[in-house]
Amino acid sequence: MHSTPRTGTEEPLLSICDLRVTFGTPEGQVVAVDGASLDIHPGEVLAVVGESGSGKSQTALAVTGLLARNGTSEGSILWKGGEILGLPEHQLARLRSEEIAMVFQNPMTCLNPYLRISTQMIEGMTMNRKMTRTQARSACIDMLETVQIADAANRIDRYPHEFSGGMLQRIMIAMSLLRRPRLLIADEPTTALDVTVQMQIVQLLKHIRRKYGTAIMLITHDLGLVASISDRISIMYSGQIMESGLAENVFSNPRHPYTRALLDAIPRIDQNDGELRDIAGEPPDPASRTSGCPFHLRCGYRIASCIENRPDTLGSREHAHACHLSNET
Amino acid sequence: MLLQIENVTVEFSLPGSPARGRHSKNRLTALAGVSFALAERETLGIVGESGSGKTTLARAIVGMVPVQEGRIVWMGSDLSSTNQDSRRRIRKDMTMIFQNPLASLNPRMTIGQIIAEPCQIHEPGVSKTEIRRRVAETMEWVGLAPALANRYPHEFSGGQCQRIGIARALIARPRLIICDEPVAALDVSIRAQIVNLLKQLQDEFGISMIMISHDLSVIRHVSHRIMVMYLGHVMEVIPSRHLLQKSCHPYTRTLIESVPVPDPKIQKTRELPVIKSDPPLMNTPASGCRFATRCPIARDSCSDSQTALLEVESGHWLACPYCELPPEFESGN
Amino acid sequence: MITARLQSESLSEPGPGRSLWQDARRRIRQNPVAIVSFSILVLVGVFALFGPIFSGWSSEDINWNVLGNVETAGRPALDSGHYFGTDQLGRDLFVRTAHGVRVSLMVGIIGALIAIVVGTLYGTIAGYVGGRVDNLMMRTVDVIMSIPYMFVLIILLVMFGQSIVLLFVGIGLVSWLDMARIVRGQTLSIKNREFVESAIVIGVPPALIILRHILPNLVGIVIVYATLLIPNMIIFESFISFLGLGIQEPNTSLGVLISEGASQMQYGVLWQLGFPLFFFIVIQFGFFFLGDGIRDALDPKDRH
Repeated sequence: MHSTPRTGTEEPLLSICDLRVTFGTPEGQVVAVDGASLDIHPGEVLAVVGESGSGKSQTALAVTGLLARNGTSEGSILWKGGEILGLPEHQLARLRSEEIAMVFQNPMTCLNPYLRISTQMIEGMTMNRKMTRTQARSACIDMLETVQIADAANRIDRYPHEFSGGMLQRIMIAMSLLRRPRLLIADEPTTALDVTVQMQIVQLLKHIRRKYGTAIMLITHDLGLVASISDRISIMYSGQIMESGLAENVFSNPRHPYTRALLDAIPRIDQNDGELRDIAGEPPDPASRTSGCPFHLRCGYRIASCIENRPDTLGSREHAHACHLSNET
Repeated sequence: MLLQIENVTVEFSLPGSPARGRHSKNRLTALAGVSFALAERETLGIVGESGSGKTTLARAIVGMVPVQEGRIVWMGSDLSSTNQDSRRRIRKDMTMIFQNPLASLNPRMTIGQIIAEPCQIHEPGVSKTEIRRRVAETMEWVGLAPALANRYPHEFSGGQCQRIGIARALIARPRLIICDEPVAALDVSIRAQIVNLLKQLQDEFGISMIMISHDLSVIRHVSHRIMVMYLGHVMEVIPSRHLLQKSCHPYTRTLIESVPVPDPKIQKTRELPVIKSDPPLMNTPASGCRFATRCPIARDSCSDSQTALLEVESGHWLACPYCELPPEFESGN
Repeated sequence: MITARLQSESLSEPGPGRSLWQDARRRIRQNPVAIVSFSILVLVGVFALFGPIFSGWSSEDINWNVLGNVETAGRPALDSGHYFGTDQLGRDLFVRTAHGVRVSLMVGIIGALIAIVVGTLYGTIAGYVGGRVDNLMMRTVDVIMSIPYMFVLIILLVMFGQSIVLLFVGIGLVSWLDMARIVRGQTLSIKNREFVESAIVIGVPPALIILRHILPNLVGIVIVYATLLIPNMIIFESFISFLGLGIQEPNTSLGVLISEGASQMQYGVLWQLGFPLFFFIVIQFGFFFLGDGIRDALDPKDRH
């Protein structure tokens, strides 16, 4: 296992070990996450990168206990060293409201369009923290200023539709930070936004990490976004982690063929690339997982053992990967 | 010239308020006097953020949005003055690929029927066997096994659905294909497949293309020229090989700087764009340059009058009088 | 040049695809409630059509032996041949119930058919053409809807005498209104789907767009609504008949039978109410559950 602790530092905030998430459907069992392990230390930004169906979002939902009804998770999820997998709902709810916050892709659908921003922000604070409304309100305004909403004192009383998408996402981030969580899970936070606004959100997330020391688990498909913000990366494919490590290591020295193929397949703005090297085929259907390495169907370096055995994850916290080929050489 | 767009303006009246006067507040200007020309075998990339009017422009060209002012000239004939019949004939030559692969295919038809439809509409005399042959040929071309012709769209993945959409666009051998965000809804590993397919399409059949996207790196990769739009106005038009070195409109530069590079070492050293606030709402009337409110080099005079789009070098058009031209440019390189 | 591409397993073999209809059929076969409802409805239909063959009586024959002594002699019994007993006039209730079920089902199905044909056509045209035409057409529907039709129909029936024709006119007048509204709304949303836009871009003429791209995508909701409309129409007819204004003697319907049975229930002849009511309820539940089952089967949430 590559979850060896960083030398000399504190224990990980969140440690997921061999997580398996399955969904029972009328068509049979669907394996969304298939033995994923990762950990996040306090104040660290971990990017979980993957395509649709790779299980990256389900991993995050399993952490917060928000899986769909037909989903079950096995394995171990440790929060500050204590097992949280299988905790009763009320304890998970407390964890979600106090320590682990989540921000989703589409801010518009997360806010009630009929209530003022102030109502929605203050609501949670006065309920749990025994604050007066005035105290809560000024705390909310402070937080809105932190996320760079100009004229927050007035704008807090507006309705969601009066803001642009980027501002709403900043408001969502502000709401999630109100209780000073230790971990912020951001699921595709910039996918629905324009590029210029995306950069603002990235800068905001960096600022928050500096100011509050919040650890961030960034779930995304965008390698460019990952390169701009994350300390470490875990690359997921078909429910498994293919490669993980420090961002510099993974980007400058990708070891897994999937990571390499991904980096070759995206056009870059800063280089005159020739023909893009595409990855033939499609990601496997989650309902019919194959044996061996999940990438073997599309891999150009396939050897016999790729089809039969699942490769072990080798390496350290700085850089680890699961591939037969490079394990042998 | 295959297609000429001359000073096209498109306005929508906002819902809830029946707008009477032309200059009523409740009208939203989606396109404000856009002009460009497209040559045979050329790919023009149109890039812009939401609200830039890029999709409206595509829809205006194919005639799905009425044009208030200006002309759209297709191979010498003004589209606004053509009758229904010749308009239909033009539709054979001008087709479109949509953003959402699955939603653009009728769920009740087999993909064979879907791909064959343009043939049936435009060449009613062609026999069934000939159509079947052409469908098979086209499917093979886009990388789909012809034996799948009896399948239904929901049985395919997003990337394959986009191939079906491309086959449908291709079968009647059009002269122009307009692609509206063709890869935005696809997974990263599938995007490159579709981008490469579109490039091959162009190389092999010499089809002109208008490629619309918010993703500047994709646009730069596939197109010959790039047109940058902001809130219904053209900011800059530039050959894509010059984009990085010679583009100088502050908005174009902001876009370039905002696209993250998948390399943490470069990302760390890159200069982050200085951009103020969010894009203004589209219906707020603004005089002058629409980008002035967010522009890092804006002067007082910027908000007075709209700057004209001027050709500063062959093929390079610019709507900003104040931006500094890159040194290579001034030396006449 | 296209590089060889991998097709996913299930798509590599040739052959016919699985249409959404086949999907729906497969799903409905897995839904026991819908299948049981459907089977029961088929049995009820068989009973209505062929039941009278197994009885020695006709719906108008009066058993004079029973008359005046219905409580005892007219009881449901196998040996007398009156399986469901007799009514107050000594007519065989088994045959009359079969007859009533037949008339009620016919009323329901004709009402639903009118709704399907008129409502779908009207709604699709209004929705697709849009603008002023849509406004005019839908306001007309609003006006017709605002008429208290039950009241008007009762007045008409009282004024012009009770006739089955007038009853069908009344049903035809109201049944398609909701359907037209539903179909129009659905058309509006389908019209803005990308596949319709792409058909417009290709140059498909409007009539063909409606026929090929819009109607097939409406069929699902039309079937579901029609299935739920049949029991409503049966209730409608029964209500009118219960008031004594609908189907006239010697013809009969479930509403008439229930009305007659209800008026006699205090004289110890409960079977006169029981049998028609049983069939009425079975038909109602049958259609409601079947409609629900069809709706679940067509629900796109299961698909990707």
